[in-house]
Amino acid sequence: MVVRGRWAWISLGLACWAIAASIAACYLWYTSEVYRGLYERALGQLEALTVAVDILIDYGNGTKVWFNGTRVSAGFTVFDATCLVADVDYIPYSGPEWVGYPNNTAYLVTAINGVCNNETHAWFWWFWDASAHAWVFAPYGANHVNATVVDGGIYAWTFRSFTTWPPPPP
Amino acid sequence: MIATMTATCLATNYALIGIPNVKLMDFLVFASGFLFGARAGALVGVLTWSIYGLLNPYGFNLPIYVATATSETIYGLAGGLLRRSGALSSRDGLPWSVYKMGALGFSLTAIYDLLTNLAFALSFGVPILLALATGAFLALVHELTNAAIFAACAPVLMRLPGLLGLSPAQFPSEGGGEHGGEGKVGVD
Repeated sequence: MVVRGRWAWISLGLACWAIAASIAACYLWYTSEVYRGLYERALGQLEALTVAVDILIDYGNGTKVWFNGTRVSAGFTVFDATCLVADVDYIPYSGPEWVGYPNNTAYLVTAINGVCNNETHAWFWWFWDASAHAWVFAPYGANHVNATVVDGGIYAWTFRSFTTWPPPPP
Repeated sequence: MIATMTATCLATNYALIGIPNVKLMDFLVFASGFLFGARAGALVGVLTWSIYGLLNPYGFNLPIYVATATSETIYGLAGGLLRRSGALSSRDGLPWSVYKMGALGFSLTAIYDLLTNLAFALSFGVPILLALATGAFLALVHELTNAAIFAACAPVLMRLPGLLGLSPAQFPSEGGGEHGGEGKVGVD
């Protein structure tokens, strides 16, 4: 009888443990659902104000780094978007001849993530033409108004020799 | 005794009003049942809630009021049954008694929380699972703190019948020895 009573109390203790674990799991599930809802609402609001783009950085030595689904503000240029995912150095050129650039100031990208232009190589940017299934060498600077990113757009930076022109695509 | 214990419950409740779901009341109701019988314990629970539920800064709601007042009686009833069964005795040793009281405090509070959450769900038309989920954190706090309070007070509760001149399995209103002697009953 004593043994049976002892096991009853042990069972009660284990039941308490099970109840506590269940309640804790219930609480964590509920909290996660609350935060999931908040996250999805915030994401929905963010999607109305932003676009998602894929950015490739090709260092020219076989190293290619993709930044897929990068969310940037609507109206950002390729230059702005690149600055979000990489450390970019550039030289501004201002003047009335730089039509189509904000404040008539074009940016020449001189380095990305510490890889600098030199006598033989430089950074070039490209965009993916989905209809032609081909990379297109951009005929204007990365901060030109025509370089404004679009939702789902795919853009690339390549570090290439400019001894051959145009440089090879990514 | 019922009035005194009810007043003590109320005093501790209002003193701890700023800490939701951490109350000495549940243990005091349990102790009332343990010391003075299940009926007395249940009465202390009902009377405490009849005042505390009415004069409560968190507001008044009739279904919740009825549910809490009714559910609180389980502590008093359990206290009375525990004493009658003789399952809490000094023969067990302190650690085992502390364990038993902790487990009892936790499980009784879990039942209380389940009942009051069900009453909340039914009275406000909230899905039962949602009511249980939203109240999970406070329920856990309630159950764990009650387990700790019950366990911590176990040594005092075991000595109190002796200090009050009550035999271990006999309530004041029941006369002498009709439930048998000390530590009887085969539960343990």
